[in-house]
Formats: sequence, structure tokens, C-alpha cells
Amino acid sequence: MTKRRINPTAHAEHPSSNRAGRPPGLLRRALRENNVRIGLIIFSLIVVVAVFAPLIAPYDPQERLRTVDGELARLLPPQRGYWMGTTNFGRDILSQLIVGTRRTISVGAIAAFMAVFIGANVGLIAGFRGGRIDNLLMRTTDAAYALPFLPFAIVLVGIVGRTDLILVAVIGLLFWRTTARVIRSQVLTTKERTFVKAAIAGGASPRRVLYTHIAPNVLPLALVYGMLLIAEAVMAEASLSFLGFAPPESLSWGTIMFDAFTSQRMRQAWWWPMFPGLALMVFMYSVYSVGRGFQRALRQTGSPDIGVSIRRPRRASERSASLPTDGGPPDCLVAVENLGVTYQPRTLEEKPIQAVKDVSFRLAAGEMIGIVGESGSGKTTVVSALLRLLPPNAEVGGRLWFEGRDLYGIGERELRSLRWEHLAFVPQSAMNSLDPVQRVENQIIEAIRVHRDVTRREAKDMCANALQQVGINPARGKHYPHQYSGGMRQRALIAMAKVLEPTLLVADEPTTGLDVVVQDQIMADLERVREELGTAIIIVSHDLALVAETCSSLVVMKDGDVVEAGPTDRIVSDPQDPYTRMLLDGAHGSSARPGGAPNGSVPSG
Amino acid sequence: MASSSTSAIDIRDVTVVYSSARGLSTLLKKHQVQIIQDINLTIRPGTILGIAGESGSGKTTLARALCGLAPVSNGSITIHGRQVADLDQTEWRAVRSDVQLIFQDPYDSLNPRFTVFDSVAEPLRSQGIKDKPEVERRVRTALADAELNPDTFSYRMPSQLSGGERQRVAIARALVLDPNVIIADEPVSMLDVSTRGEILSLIRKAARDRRVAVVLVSHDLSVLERVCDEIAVMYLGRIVEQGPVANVFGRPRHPYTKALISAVPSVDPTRKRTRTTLRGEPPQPSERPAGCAFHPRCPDCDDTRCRTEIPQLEGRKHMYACWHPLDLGRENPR
Repeated sequence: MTKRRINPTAHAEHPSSNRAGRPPGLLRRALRENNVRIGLIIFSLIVVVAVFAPLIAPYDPQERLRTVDGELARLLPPQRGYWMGTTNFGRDILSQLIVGTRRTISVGAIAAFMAVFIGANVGLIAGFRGGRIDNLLMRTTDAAYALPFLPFAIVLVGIVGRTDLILVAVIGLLFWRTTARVIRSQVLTTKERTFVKAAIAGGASPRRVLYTHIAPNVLPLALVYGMLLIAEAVMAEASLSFLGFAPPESLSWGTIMFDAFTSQRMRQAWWWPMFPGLALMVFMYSVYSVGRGFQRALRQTGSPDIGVSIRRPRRASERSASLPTDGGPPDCLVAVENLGVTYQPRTLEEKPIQAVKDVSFRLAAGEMIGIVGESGSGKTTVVSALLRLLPPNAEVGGRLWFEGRDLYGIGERELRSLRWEHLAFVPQSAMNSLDPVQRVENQIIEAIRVHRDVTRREAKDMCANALQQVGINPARGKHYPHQYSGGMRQRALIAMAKVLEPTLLVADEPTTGLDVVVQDQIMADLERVREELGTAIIIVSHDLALVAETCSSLVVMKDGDVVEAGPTDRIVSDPQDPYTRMLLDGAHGSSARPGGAPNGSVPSG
Repeated sequence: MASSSTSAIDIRDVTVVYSSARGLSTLLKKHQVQIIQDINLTIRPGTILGIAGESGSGKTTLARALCGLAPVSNGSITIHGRQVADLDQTEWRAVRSDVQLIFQDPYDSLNPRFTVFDSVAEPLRSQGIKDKPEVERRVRTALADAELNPDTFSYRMPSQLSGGERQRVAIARALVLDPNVIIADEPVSMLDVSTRGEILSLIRKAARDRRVAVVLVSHDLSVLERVCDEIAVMYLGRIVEQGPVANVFGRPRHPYTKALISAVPSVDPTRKRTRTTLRGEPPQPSERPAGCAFHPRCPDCDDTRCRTEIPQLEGRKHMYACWHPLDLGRENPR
């Protein structure tokens, strides 16, 4: 594979690109966190100590030191010259610790590398090949899980004897199992991604698919596990050494503790086991903070959108409370006045994003309005603001009135009483909006009984009625959401939204992902809700034709601004904005159809 | 459709069967479900065939069968004179350069670790073309054909591209091997309305200029109407109506086609459309109704023939499989 860097001039030539440069790499993302930086510094220091140990150590760790008056320096507490005290043989613990770092780290790192190497390969092959090979490898992994670490080590050392190799092998041969499982499940997911299918369709050999397309997308995870495994391996080495399985005369943090323990002087010489223990703690902290930091950074890769960020500078409601309260409530069901929504950045490198700039519209009782726009137009943000469902890092400006109440002036309690009973919501993804482990019926009944003081029997009747009205056989209420088709799930959500006869129903992309016939049925259901209950409806959609047919007025949005708003008839017959015209041209049934069939006008049904 | 010796794809009686069983019960025939049945299609170079239908109609399975990603249990598929229906995965690799794919999800179809250049070059490298100037030349041509400036786009990462740009990269990747056939499964359904038109005309241009036969699968009739030359409407694994776009959309003969068309919302103020007469949703392929599969939802079904006998495709240029085809002139067929 050829590797070329971005040609800087070529990049600069493209001013229209408003996307930031390359996304920061894994390392840079991980290093944004302070404890990752501290962890990395400590880890590097420990590694440096391990490498230059003999140069740094003040004494030879095996030398029996003598005090000025010629006596053996036995069990001296920490003091000038012996910063960590001495052992009962007069050896300097600081020097032992420094030199012991070498063995501790190298045994840990080699074992961890071995474990990750085995684990990653087992995981890659098992996940990619599947079938019998997968079965065989995963059962082997299960067997590795079944081996208890200490008894296994004791038996092996008993047979082979105390050597460094056996320590590394015990750790390496047992600890690959977690990595193998994690990598395998990642491979299984990646294997199903479209770009892998595209590579297969391009004629790539299985080997190429695995090592060029799947492995690079999966192995960063192995890196993280490798890091965490170093911690586990160092701990395992320390435990084994502490139990006396290290080769004689070897020196590691674990053997220092072993010596302290076997000397029977631990109670009086507290410094002897404490300093290696502390070293172990600091090391574990550094490795874990780096490893976990990488893990978090990896998880961020999939979601570059700021809309999902969690940290908050100021709560949306606090902000609007400070707004001047001139003018009373307007005389209509919903009034949106100069709504602006800004998402505050999560990190210093990001800029605030103004998702909605200045949006105003009104909605009378029983009216149906459509908010139309493409992705990034802010249409979903507008209704999220209306439902007070914005993420905490969103700042809301302007006023939102609902039934004469300032929506951002009321408390959580009042809001909760409004929701569902007055202000119902049909969310975008019907797939994820129903509880998968509850019968559809129960979900609706529970929702009814939270708001209304009715018996279960009555609630059940209301539910059956609502299901019936959206064309679902009430008997199917006993089924679980996964037994429903996409269209039925969407209808169940509409039934749930309308069952309490709300004054306003907000439907966010109610037909996305559904077929035209089902889409038509859903729109008919919504129209019926409006006609029978007098519910006002806001439909958010990217499909102008869809909302133009059912809604009496339209709000066309682009980049957070309203480009055009007004009665549907006027907008369709005489669009003022070029953007609206472009959307109309893209819609079905318009006269300007590029390259369309000569006789393509669709007859009425 | 006149039989033509120069067809790019020739599909004869293709059936795809999936087994819903696991383990030993796979041996039992009763778990086998026919996803598509007896499909016959011919596509000439330079033309676009649209396949329409609701989800579960088998249109995606048909597309997958055409590129060797779904097992063909019966029938033959001839691509450029080469019989491909019974090739195994290894043999298919040799045919891959002839049949390329454009996927639905542009956000998942590019390897996130590959630059645009590497993504487009990948099929060449997979086919063993390693000569650098040659790869470079062909990638640049393909990018230019997809209307992406090779100088500005070659070394970008997918995360720096918009959905439309990503789909252009996918088109360049499909074109780079000079295939005879391109299969596009819902290529614009995840794109914004404003970019859909551009991507569709790009596909149309590629078909015309490079003499590629394109199979375009979509549930969105307005998409098909814009770019296709021919349309095949599928219902529960069978083609129910097929013919030139103007005929199928202008004068549908099958009630299902008519229902599909009438379900499309329109901004045309002069046309007050009535809601579709169809109730419910298509049944599962495992519970295929006897006779005409559409009869439980059909407004025109009223005799025993619809319930017992499967109608076959009739007609020469404009074909339809219905016992009571809609009349051309009259509003009500009966």
C-alpha cells in the first residue's frame, strides 16, 4: 500500500471545504485528558528508570552496606543516604527497587506482548473464518478461562523449575483469552460493515480483506488491551515472585516483598515491603489511566458530531430564565419567537455550533404544520427545543410558548404533567423507541396509568382502542416490538402518542426508512388523529412533497435559518426562495424533472 | 424487450432459496423459503434497469444474486457471455472486475483508514494491478468521471467528506475496473434531496458514456422514474410488471404498480390524489398466499382464479402478471 501525505497546497486550494482538517489521531485525542498525560509521564519515567537502572541506583543492590562505625547497616529506617531504608542484610532498598524495576517491567511487557499477540491472532482468525475454526478457537479460549492462574503456575513451576521463561509463559499463555474474545467480537461487527463488503465485491482475496481492511480497524483495540495487560502481567509477576516462584537471586518488586515476608521482620521494618508495594500501585495507576484513556478515545471515533456531547457549560433553562419577560403569552397553541440554539463546545479545539439561528412560527389548535429541511438544517433541533429535550450543552435563546405557558419558565414537575397529556412526541427511530423486553400493550398501558387515574382494565380498553384506530389488531398488543414490522412499530408509537388525546403531537421524520405504501398509511393515520381529536401536529421531514400534501403551512429551513414560511399552497405554487425551488424541483410531481421520462406524469389513483 | 445477443446481463428463471432453519433441521425442505422466484430479465449495455418494490419484495436479494453475494439455487445468470450463477466464491473473484457495486450507506462503505485514493485504488490492487503509474492514471480518471477533482480529493479521509462526496468516491471505485455491470442498491436513499439529483445524473452519465448496464434498486419511485430506461416491479419475490419507464409509470397495468404510484406524495397542486387503497403490509415470503401473491391486498381480486393460479408475465414490451390487468383507457378496470 502506498502511503502519501497530503499535499499542503492541494489542500489549501479547496476553500469550500468547511470541515476541519483530518480528525486528530488516537494518541492526540487520548492526550486531551490530564490523567492520561500524568499516567504517560509516570509510565515513561518508570521505563527510563528500568533502562538506566544500574546508573541511577546509588548502591549495588546486593552489596551489604556498613555504617560509618563498621557495623552492618541492618534494618535501618528511611533516612539520609538510605532513602527507603535497608534490609536485614544491610542492602539498600531504593537500589533494589530501581534495579528490580528492570525485571518487573520486562517480564510484564514480554508476557503482555505474547498474550496480545496470541489473543489478537486467535480473535482475528476466529472472527473472520467463522464456522468450525471459530468454534475450535473459541472452545480453546474457554479452556484457557477454565485454568486457574495460581494452581496452574504452581504446577508448571513445580515441573519445570523456577525460571524467567516459565513466568513469562504462564502469564502469556493464560492472559490472551480476554483479548481473543474482544477482538473476535470486533471482527464480527467489522466484517458486516459495508466497506468490507465493498472490498469483497472489488475482488479482494480473503487474506487481503482480513489484513488490509478488517485488522487495521480492529487492532487499535488490541493496543489498549495490551496496555491493560501489561498492568495485569506486572501484577501477576509480582504475585508469583512474592510467592517465591521467581528464579533464585533474581530481583524484582515482587522478590523484595518476598524477602521481606520470609525475613519475618515485616512488622518492625514497615519500609521494607511498603516501598515496592507503593511502586506497584503507582505503576498500575499509570498504566490503567493511559489504557482507559485510549479506550475512551477509541470510543469517540465513531461520533464526530457535537450534538451528542455531554459536558455542559450552562443549563438551557437557566439561560432563558434571564431573558426579559416582556409581552404576555400569544393567543395560539404554539408560538416560537426568535428561537436560537447554540451547542457549546466540549473541548477547547471545537467551536460553538449555532444549530438554530432565528426561528419564529405559530401554530393554531388543530393545525398541521410541516418543518422541512435537509440534514443539518436545524429542524430536529427546533422540535427538540420545543419538547425541552435538548442536550445539556445547548443554549436556548428566544421564547417558546405552549398553551399560554412559557415552556422554559415552568419547572420540571409542570413540564412532566404537560408531556404526553398535552404535548406528545413520536420520535424518529421507531426501532429504538419501544422497550424491547416489554409487550407493546403493557408499554402503552403503563404510560396511560402514569398520567390518568384509571384502572388497568380501563387503560387496557383505551390501549386496544388506540391500536385499533391505527390499524393494528388489538390482539397483537400482546406481542413484543421485535415481532412488529417497521411500519407497525411506527403506528404503535402513534397510538401511544395519541391515546391521551394531546393538544399537540410532534412527529420527527415519522416515515423515514419506511416504504411508500406504509408511508402513505402512516400519514393517513396522522391526518385521522388531527381530524378526530383536533390535535395540532408538527411534522419534521426532509421530504417536501410528503408534508406539502398533508400540512396547511410549511416552514422551510436551511443551515439553522428559516428560508421560507407560510401557507403550503402559496409556497408550492409560488416559492420565493431559490432553495425552496430547488427542493420543489427535487420533489415528485413537479414539472421540472431533469431527465425524466417523457410521459412520466403519474395518474391519480 | 427484444432478445439481444449484446446483452450485458441475461437472467433466466433465477430463484434464490434461503433456509430459515439452523443446525440439522437445515436438511428439511420445509424450512426453505423462496426469496425470489423465476426472475427473467435482460439488460443491454448503456441502459439502466430499475427494480421497484417494498421491503421484503426481494429486490435486494436479486441485486445480491447478480453479484454473487446471494446463492442462486436455480436458473442462470449470464454476464457478458459468461455463466456466473453456479460459480463459488473463489471463482467469482475472477468475475468481480466485471460486476461492481454501489452501496446504500455512504457513511459505512468507505474504509475509515483509507484515503480517497486508496479506496478507489483498492479494486485495482485486489485484481493484482500493482503498476504505480497505471493505478494512478486509472484512479484519477475514475475520480474525474465521478466529478471529483483528483488533486483536491485524492488524499482526504472519508471523515472529511460529505455524504454526496462519499457516494461519488463509491461511484469512482465502482468505475475504476471498467465493469460491464454496476449494481446500485438504494444509492441515494441516505442522501439529501439536493445531492440526490447529482448522484443520479452521474450514474446515468456513467451508464451512457461507458456503456455500462446498471441495475438500480430503489423503493423510491421518483428516483427510478428519473434515471431508468426500464422498470421491473417486484412483489414477494416475483416480477409483477415490467417495461419501459413511460409505460409502467404512465399506464400501469398491475394494481400493485398503481398502488405504489398512488402512494408517492406529490407537490403537483393540480393533482389531488386519493390515498392508496392498500391495507396492511406484504406478507412474509414464508407465508406466501396461494395463487397471485398480491390477492389478499388487491382491490380488484374477486374470483377464484386470483386465489389459486399464479399469473405469469404477459405482453411483449410492457409485461404484467395479473388476471385482471387495468385497462389502458378506462379509470375502472371492471
